[in-house]
Amino acid sequence: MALDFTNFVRVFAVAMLLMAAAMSVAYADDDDDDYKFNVNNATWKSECGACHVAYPPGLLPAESWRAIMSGLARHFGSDASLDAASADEITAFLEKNADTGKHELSDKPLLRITETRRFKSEHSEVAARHWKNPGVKSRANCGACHTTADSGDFSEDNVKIPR
Amino acid sequence: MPWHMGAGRGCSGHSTNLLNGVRDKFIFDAELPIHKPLNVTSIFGETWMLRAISVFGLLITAAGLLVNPAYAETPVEVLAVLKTEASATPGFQGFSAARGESFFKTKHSHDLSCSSCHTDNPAAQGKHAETDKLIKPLAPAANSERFTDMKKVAKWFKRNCNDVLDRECTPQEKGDVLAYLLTVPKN
Repeated sequence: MALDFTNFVRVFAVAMLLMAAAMSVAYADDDDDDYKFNVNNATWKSECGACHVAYPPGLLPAESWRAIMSGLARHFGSDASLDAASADEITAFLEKNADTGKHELSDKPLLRITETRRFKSEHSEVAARHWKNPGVKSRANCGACHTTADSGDFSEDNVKIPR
Repeated sequence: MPWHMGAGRGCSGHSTNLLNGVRDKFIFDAELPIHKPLNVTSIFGETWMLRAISVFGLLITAAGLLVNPAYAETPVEVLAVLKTEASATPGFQGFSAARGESFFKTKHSHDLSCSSCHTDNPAAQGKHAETDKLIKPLAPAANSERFTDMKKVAKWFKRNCNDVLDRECTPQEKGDVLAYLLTVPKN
């Protein structure tokens, strides 16, 4: 009996070690942390999120956000003008949490997230027919596939491409 | 002095003779030894009743705020503001729901109308023509949040009129549309 118990403890310990090893491999492989944006600001969420998903600040560099925020009266073909106080608050929030990585060298700041190198490489495996799906409609429609885009979670686990 | 003995004087501000009669009867019953009423003042002090009333009042107010969120304006007040603005235009003869409905459903510039996004039934959920984002019903009967914040009303009229008509709407047009929306029943 005593022997059985010792055996059990050994087997258990080995199982735990194996599990831990498997988990750390899984974590090492999982770079989803890059795709979760946890920053929040109530004005940004309600104003930017009124017409489209409130795109996380980390998806564009600060100069892009500044250019977007200074042209709201003609925002991708729509009037999205804001009162000065809200615009200032949102601009500060976007700048503070903007993408600080290396980005494309160009004369003009990129205004479309879908034109960033990052967006293109992340979506390189998405077949053309998915983009043409009426349920997707536009590359800017994150929520069509990223089911948790509204909460800033773009991890692959929560992607569901509409058929 | 026990509270019930002063009832005829202390609380008689709004009472009638009939009520006094009833109270007298009650006092009479209460004077019987077995029904001796509890002397609240002697137990809780003089301010007990006042405190109870104020706490009760606060609770009622809090409950009221929870049930009915305090909006800055009502749609009718917003309409009144638009009317004041429209009155500055010579020849203003009031708003028309029928004209508002026609304006709402007519395509203006870029093949767009108000109903392109808000649908032909403003009591129904709409969808942004460009982004497909769902839009909550616009008619106040279907969505009590609508037209309760003048600042928000001004912001969206400015934006949407610029998109749909390539210009801002006149106070007359805005008032007509709101007059129409106020006639739309809940689905």
